[in-house]
Amino acid sequence: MKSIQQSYRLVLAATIAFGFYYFFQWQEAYWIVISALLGVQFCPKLLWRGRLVVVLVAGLAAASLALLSQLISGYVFCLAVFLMLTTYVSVSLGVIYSAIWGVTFLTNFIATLSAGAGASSPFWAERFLCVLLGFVIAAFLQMIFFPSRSVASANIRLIQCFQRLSQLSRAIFSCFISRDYPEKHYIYDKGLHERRADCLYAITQLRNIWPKIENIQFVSIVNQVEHLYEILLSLGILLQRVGDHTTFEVASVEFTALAVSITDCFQMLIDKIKHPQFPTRMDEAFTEAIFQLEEINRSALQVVAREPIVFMFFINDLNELKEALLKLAEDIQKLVEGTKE
Amino acid sequence: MSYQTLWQKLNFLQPQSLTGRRAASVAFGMVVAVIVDRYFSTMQELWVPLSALLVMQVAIRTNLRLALQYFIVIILSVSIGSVVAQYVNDQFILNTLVVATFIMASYLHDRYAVGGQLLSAPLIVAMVVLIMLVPFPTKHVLYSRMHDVMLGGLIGLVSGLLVFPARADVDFRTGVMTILRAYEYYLLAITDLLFQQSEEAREKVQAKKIDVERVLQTQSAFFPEWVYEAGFNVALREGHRHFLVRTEQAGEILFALQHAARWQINLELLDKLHKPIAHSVAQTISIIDALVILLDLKKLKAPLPDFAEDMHALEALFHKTVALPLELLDISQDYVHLAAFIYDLKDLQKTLLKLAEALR
Repeated sequence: MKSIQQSYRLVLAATIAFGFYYFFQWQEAYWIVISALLGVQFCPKLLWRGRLVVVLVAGLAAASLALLSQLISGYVFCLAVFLMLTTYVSVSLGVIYSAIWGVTFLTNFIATLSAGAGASSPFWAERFLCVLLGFVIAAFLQMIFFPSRSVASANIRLIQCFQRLSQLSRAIFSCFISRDYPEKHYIYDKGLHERRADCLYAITQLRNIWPKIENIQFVSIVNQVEHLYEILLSLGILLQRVGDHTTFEVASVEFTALAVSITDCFQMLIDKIKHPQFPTRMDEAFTEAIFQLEEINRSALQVVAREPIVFMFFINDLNELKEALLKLAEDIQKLVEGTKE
Repeated sequence: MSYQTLWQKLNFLQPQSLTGRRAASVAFGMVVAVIVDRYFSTMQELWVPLSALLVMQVAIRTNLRLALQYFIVIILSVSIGSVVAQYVNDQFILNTLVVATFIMASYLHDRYAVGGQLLSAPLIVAMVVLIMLVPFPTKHVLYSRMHDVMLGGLIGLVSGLLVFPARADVDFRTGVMTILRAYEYYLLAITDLLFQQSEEAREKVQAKKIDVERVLQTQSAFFPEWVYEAGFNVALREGHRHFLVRTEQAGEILFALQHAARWQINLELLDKLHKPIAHSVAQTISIIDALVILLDLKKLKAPLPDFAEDMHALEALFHKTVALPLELLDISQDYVHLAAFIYDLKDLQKTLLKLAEALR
């Protein structure tokens, strides 16, 4: 879906850029197309305001660097030193701030290309304007296509967090349920690693907007989100503790039900942010799933498992997860309603 | 801001830092490529630095195979692009072809790329094809361009291999040592939280947790995420990945420990177990220290003692204190959380000892 949206964005970028290309009939107009298409492709992974600022700043930097490298392209040693410095800074910034890696690389790429492509052209001011215009087109498309741009940035980050936590819970439960886990554990472990990394990134992004939001409720919500992450990891430890993976097969139906109900709970939280008037009904299916697991724990798991107590810790964590989710739903409702007032 | 703090912030300027070495390697490659383009290229269209730049986007030190794949993709796309540009004389048709190829390749990149800070073969095709929009004065240039692209690719590969060359093992050890140090401080803060439950302890544990989250982020300069990349050095792959998976598991347990320590446990019960838990935490810290020494010096100053006995003693004391079969713990949340804490601590020790085993 995302890739199709991106294709639409690129088609629009190409149409607008070629519109300018044929309208102005400038010698350097091909730079509009190049920078617009690349600007849309290497979009930073930031919220819409951040994207807008980064794309425009990158546009200005790219246009200036393209102009400079064109002007000094005749002096080979100057050009070599100039490109060395540009490359050093862009690679460093890209490694340190991974979210803007794409635009730093793009800026460097355009500076290098400008020193070779039509470097003898006397229309250097035109080139500067065309590169800048291309990035403006890219920034414009970022703005009009950014999903839910009308919702506050904090809410978008909260939604992203819940999506990532939901994916993490699915990854954890798929390790319990999948029969091929023992043979292909590396693939599952890698999946878990990626989901955990996504969660950490989303939580860090959420925490980064603390200083900007003077709302005690929001701070409390962020703390609760972090606690949810801890609980999910605590649930995941069961995988290390149960040595014999076949033990999970005894309760595979219950684990599947739990996985589905936890995903539904996170979806409910996301819906709550978007539509606070929706009623909170997250506990019913989840409570039932926990109850079913408790039943099978008493009747079978306690007998089969080498260390029965670990399932009790697991059930305890599930109950705490339920409580934490319910509390969070209430706080989100208050936060969203408070924001609207 | 002190000089040291400033120097830490300007990490990328330090030649021994991972970021600084990577940037210096690519920058050096670019200088050579620009000079070679001027003196050895017949067209001087800067195809040498362009192809060097694209090839050097891969961290060649750890993934030579992927760099070679990029190299081949660049050669193929430049040759096909040049042939098309040579035979299609209508500018409108050429523009349409270029843009259509760009969008298609970009779609494939978004659909199938693994993510992270990597270009992909389709994206390289897209970028190279887009350059065909530039009205280069020379048209019949296939062989000259191929010559330049090959030179650039070779410069990229050689620069990646020779300038600040492969130190995968050293970089890996440095990264894991930083992670383990962060774990150590986090564990101490969690223990304080369990015993004190004060606001100060809560703030401290939060700060240490943020430090752990920072070093565990795949985007951090410390986390050796590159061991998971497809094409990573076959000789090192299995051992390094196994070690990193275990290190991450230890991190998971620490987060679970904090979850257990959040609960305000009855002080009387806690007092009875204070000494053995503190002893156990101290032992865990000593395992982490030993691991750091092992990673740093590749040998231990003293052999690791057997911790299993102490852990069994802690469990036995817990059973005696609780005086109930563990299966009935659900009658008191205090007992459940304390038991969970002790089990997590035991698991953490086990995981760390497995790491030490893997290093020997």
